[in-house]
Amino acid sequence: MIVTTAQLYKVAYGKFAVGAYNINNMEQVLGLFRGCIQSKAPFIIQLSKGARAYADKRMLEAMIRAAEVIFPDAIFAVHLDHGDEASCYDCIDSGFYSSVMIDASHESFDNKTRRSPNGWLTALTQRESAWRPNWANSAGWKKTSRWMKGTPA
Amino acid sequence: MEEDIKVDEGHASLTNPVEAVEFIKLTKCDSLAAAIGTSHGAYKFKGQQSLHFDVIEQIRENVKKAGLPPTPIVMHGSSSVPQSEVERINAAGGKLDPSARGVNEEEYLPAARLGVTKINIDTDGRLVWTRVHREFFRDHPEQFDFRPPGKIFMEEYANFIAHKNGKLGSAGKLDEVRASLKA
Repeated sequence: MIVTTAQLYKVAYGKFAVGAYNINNMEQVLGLFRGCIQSKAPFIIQLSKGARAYADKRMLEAMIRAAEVIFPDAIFAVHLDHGDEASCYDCIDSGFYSSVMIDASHESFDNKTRRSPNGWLTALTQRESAWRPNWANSAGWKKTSRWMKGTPA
Repeated sequence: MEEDIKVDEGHASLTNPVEAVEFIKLTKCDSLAAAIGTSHGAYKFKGQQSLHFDVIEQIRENVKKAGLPPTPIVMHGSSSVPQSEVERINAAGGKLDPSARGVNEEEYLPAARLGVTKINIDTDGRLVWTRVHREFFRDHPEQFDFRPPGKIFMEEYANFIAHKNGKLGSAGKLDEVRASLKA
């Protein structure tokens, strides 16, 4: 089950850390889910800009959706790792991601603040629903679950 | 190594806890990737170094003093770069720098108790992939099917993830998370 990263933080803060693991291919996805089920752990899947270009972001999303079906007990968040403005918007609009990161580590303090996703979101309130998506009602989710059901076993 | 990110050893500087709180106040971010002594890639440190627990603690204290909600800290570049993995890769034809060091896994949980709530691990997983495939093809030079090493990799990767979750303290917490979602 995909949850928001904030939901995992709520349980973990001050007690334990949630592992955030990058994925690039199918073997990593299956290994990651098996390892987390084996150790009964919540986790965060991270997709970097590089991974989204290497494996195609649609392929990564489809693999994660498939893994969610194969491992119904898994609880995890999906996070954009080291994004920029364009990839953050793309992930928020997709309705698939639990959270995004913008990498402004090389910017001045003022630019860091200006480029923070929550910084724009205070101005762009209509995006708030995409930022903390309600998975059951998200259009992207419905479309994908139909696609999943239509896929031959 | 996370893409496009290069921090020179000499230029890697730590987060200023006063600025961190100002940033949290202005952006209302859900979490903050603070520089607390780690860097990306297999070549993090020369020799053993420790996380800067003082910085983590100061951020937490300053956030509390400012009356802001607790803000989870994200730790990037948290692989441990086990020497045994580097040695096995090099024994199977690799040429990784044997002096490469990462974060001590025993520091994950103490950091978590101070508010480090998301720990990013990528390099160590890449080392598992490289070790499995280099050793497999060294030991089976006649083979060219990608599935036998893939099968070994998936098993080794699952064990690696379970091990890391043990060190992070997230192992065994699935039911607690499930219960909190229903609440």
